[in-house]
Amino acid sequence: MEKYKGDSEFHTLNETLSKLTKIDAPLSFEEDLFNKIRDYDSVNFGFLKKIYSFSMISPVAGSVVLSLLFVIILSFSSTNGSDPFFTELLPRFDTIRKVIIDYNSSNNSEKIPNSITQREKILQREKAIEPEINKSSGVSSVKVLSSIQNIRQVSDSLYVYYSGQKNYRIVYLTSEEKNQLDKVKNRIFSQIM
Amino acid sequence: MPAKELKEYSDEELILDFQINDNKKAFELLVQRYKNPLTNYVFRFLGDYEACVDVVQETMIRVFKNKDSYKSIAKFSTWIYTIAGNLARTELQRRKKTVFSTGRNSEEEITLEIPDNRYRPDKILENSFKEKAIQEALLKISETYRKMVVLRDIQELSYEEISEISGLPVGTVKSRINRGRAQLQRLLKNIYKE
Repeated sequence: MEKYKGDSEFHTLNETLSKLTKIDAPLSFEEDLFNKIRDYDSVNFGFLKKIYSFSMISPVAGSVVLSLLFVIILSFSSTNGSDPFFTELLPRFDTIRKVIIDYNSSNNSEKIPNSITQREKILQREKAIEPEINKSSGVSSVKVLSSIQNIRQVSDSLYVYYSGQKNYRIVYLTSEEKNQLDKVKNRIFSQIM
Repeated sequence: MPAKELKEYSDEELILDFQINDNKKAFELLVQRYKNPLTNYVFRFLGDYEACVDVVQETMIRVFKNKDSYKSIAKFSTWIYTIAGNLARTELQRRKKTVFSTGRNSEEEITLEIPDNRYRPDKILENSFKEKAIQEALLKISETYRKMVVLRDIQELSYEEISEISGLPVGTVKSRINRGRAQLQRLLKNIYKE
C-alpha cells in the first residue's frame, strides 16, 4: 500500500484500524446465495425456458402452431374490420325520386317509348303526378322533365331520366317495383337502426 | 504448457469466463474471493451484521444478473466494491427514514430516528471494548468520510482504486480520507490515552 504524508500523520489510527477484527461472511453465505439465485432463475425464466424447450423438441410443431395462429388472427381481423374500400355503399334515398308510371295499364302495346308520341305521353303523366312527387320526396322545387330526349328505357317497364345537371338519376318504377324497393328500403333501415 | 486452473485465474479472467461461457464455477470462485472482504467493508459501514450479509448477497446477485454490464477496462474489484457501496448507502438511507410517531396531535408530532442496536459484538468481536468503541466512532463520522476511511484503512485499497470506486479525483479522495481520520481520531482520543 503506497504511503503519502496523510498516512504518516495518522499512523497510530491507521495501525489500529488495520488491526481490527476482520468480519467474515456466515458459513451458510454461499448456500443462501445460490438458493436466492435459483429462485430468481425459476421465477424469471421458468416460463421462457418451457417455451424454448418445446420449440427445441418439436420445431415443426412450433412453427405449425405459430402459422395457424397467424392465419386465424388474419382471418379474424379481415372479417371484423370495416375496410372502406370494400364496404357496400348505402343507397341515398333522399336523392332518389320515385314516380309511378303504369305503362302496362295505360298502353300495353306501347311498352317501349321509342317514338316522340310515347315520350310526350310520359311527360304528360309526369306533369300530372308532380304534386305527388313534391309530397313524397319532400323536395320543394321539383324540376319537371324538360326534355324528352333524356328518357331512356332500362327494362320492359322501367324508364330512366338522365339529368345532365345533377349527379343523380330519376328512376321511374312500376307499382310492383316500387313495392320491391320499399321492402328493400325497410330491410336496410331495420338493419341500420 | 499445462492449462491454467480456474482458481489461478485473475478476477478479470473469471468474470470474462462467466460472461462468455456462462461458467457458473467462475462466478462461484468470485463469490468465494469477495464474500469476506465485502462483508467486512459493508459491516464497518453499516454496523449491522444481518443487514450487511443481505447487502453482500444482493451485491453478488447483481453481479450474477448483470454480468454483461462489467467492462474489462475496469478492475473487477472496483466494480464489485462500487455495487456493494451503493447498496450499503441505500440501506443506510432507508434506515434513516425509519421513523415513528409519538401518537399525539399532528402539531406536536415528533419524529425520532431509531438507534440501531443490533450490533453484535458478543458474537463477532468477542466483547472487545476497544473494537466496539472504534466501530461506534466509525458510525458517528459522516457517511462520505466513513466510506473512504474504511476502504483505505480497513480494506487497504489504493487511493487510485478508491478514486475509481467513488468516481472522485485522487486528490479529493486523499483530503476526504484525512478529514475522516481527523474526525475519528477526535472521537477516539480517550482510547489513545489509555
